[in-house]
Amino acid sequence: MSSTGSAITDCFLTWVDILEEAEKSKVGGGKGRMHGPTGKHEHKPD
Amino acid sequence: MQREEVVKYRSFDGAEVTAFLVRPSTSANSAVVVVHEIFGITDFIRNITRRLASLGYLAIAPNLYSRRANVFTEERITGVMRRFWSIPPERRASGEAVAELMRTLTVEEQEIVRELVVDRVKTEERMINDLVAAYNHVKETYGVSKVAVMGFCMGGGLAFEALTRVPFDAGVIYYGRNPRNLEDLAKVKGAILAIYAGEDPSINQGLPDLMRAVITYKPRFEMAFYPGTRHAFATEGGPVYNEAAAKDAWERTVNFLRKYLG
Repeated sequence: MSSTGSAITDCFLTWVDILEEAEKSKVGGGKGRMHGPTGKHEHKPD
Repeated sequence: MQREEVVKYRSFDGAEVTAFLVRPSTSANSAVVVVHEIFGITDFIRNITRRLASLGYLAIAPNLYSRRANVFTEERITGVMRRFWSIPPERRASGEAVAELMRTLTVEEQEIVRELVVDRVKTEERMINDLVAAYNHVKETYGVSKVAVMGFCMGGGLAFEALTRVPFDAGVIYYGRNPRNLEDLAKVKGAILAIYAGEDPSINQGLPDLMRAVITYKPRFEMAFYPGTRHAFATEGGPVYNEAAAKDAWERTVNFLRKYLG
């Protein structure tokens, strides 16, 4: 990702990528969706 | 015993900023202002603040979303990030693509995108001014002799910028963007510890310019670089947490603070 020149937006977009990759890596593995940076999850019912 | 409380201070525009404050068990001679990531005051930031207090520092983490704390929640910010997945990665910074996405968002989600992406320059300046006000609040209120600033991700960049505005005695920057004008390094009074992840392209592309500025303006500058880690590697429980690097970075942080704050 190239820099937008802003600490805020660069961080925002970097986290968009991090969460997207984390979500993709869970496909077929875990349940639910990542809810934030500290690994909170929104669990789907069995 | 450490004491935790939520305090308020007045910022440059008259607005009240709330902050998570932890007082150490003994009287503190120094303080650390903790600057949060894009997600606001999270469990991770509260834990960092507690850890600093356990070292004997008065630790305070201003909520830079105080003016709209009910809108800027960790869950809602994460939800908005997830909505960006519908934009191809190479277009996520494009004004046109963001405007298109905005039309599909709720009013609250639009506000988040407006503040963090569209009006970023204005938001950044306001947050930096809130940190300047935090520095003044700490100096005037708690009777400490030295004050450091420490920031993570977004907060790292804001902390780096704040170091150029007020005479913090030290600054710890976890993967933060460079100050806007690198000539402003000449204004930095405190020592700097800058910590970087090896795989963090948007931040690390600024490192060659930063190194040149360090050589030119000669601030007291220490750097740690962790190959194989990613942006936010120190966020406990997070998707890219790297325990070994986080522990090493924390040890460096503690040694650095001991050296410059006592």
